[in-house]
Amino acid sequence: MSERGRMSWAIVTAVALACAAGVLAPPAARAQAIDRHLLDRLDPATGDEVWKIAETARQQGVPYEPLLLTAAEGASKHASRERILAAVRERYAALSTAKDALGPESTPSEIAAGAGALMSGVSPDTLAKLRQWRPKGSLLVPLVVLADLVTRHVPVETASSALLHASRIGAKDADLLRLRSRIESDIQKGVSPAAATLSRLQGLGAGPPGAPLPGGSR
Amino acid sequence: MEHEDDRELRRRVAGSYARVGPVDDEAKGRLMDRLRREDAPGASGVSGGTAARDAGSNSGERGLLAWRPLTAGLAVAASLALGTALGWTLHSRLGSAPKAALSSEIAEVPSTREVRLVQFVLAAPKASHVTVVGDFNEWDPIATPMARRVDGAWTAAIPVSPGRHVYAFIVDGDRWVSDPAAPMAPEDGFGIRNSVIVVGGQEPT
Repeated sequence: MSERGRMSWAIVTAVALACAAGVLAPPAARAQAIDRHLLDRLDPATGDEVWKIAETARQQGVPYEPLLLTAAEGASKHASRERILAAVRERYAALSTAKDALGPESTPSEIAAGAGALMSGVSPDTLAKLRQWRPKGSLLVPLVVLADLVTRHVPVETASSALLHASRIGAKDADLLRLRSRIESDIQKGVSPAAATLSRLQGLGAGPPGAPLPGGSR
Repeated sequence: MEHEDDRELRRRVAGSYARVGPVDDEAKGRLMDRLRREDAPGASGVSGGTAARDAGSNSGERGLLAWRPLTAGLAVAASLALGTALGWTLHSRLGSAPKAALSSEIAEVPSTREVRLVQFVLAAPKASHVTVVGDFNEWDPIATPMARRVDGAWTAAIPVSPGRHVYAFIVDGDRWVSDPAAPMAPEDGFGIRNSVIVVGGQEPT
């Protein structure tokens, strides 16, 4: 091949490689741009600290976007740097524990919901048992309802037992959401959270004959 | 349908470009000589580079040869820029929708993931301004203003990806309130209780 021919091929090859690099580079760069954008509202030092925690989470396979969103939430609520970092660290720990308790097949939404339940006081063991009773179905609604009940001052043991029982008897998501709504309504009318939960749970289903309900009542 | 005049115009323009000029044998001979010189390795007596090769040739040819590496570099740079622009465009068209709700940059782009339109409602007849804020709009306090209905309720319809979402309302710019009709989220460490909504992904009834 002549020298001019070789140079022509070299130019063509370089152009093709440059085009390919340009096409392939943006997705990774864009993902980075999205994540950092969530930290723009923070001062650089806080943003870097949050980024480090998020990177650690990502390397461990723990959903990291909730951490960035927690930081963005703190910024919007004008929280101090210390509160933002404490909230991010707490959520990271909860996400990590939820991921272990719910199993490797859990979706990011389930893990986030599980983290919410853990942060409200639910034990990792309850999360693992919920997965046991619903191995294939989504745990999103049960976890959200569980966290809600505890947040409304239903004792953790009562709320956990109620959701485990409901899952054991095959209650559907719509049933759980209806249960939550009725318990909330009863609490607002002055019924104690524990009594409201046990009462409404009986209306959900008695389960197999002889099966005890949470709290020992029947 | 193409007009007859347009076809005639195209034919004449194409014809003028395709016209072959008369061949000057002497000019043809000079061209072939030059091509033979350029193809011969080391013909110029210079190793590498092209500038010294121009010794003995006229100044116009020297300038043309000296620009060749620069031309190649510019071509590579232009291709990289074009490829990057193409890549960004492609990625935005095929991009991830759920994060569309989180980034104003992607929000306007079609998505391949399912998105549901969720209507948020807050009864606040005495409020003058209400926004809804949550993980679906990056907790931006001003991203999603709500519209007031005649009955005093405030509403906003937002595209939200399936999954669990946390949100709150901001009344009159500085009062954060949770949704009284929705499940509550645990304390978030910022002293303000949020609400939770589950979009799609539920077990069938």
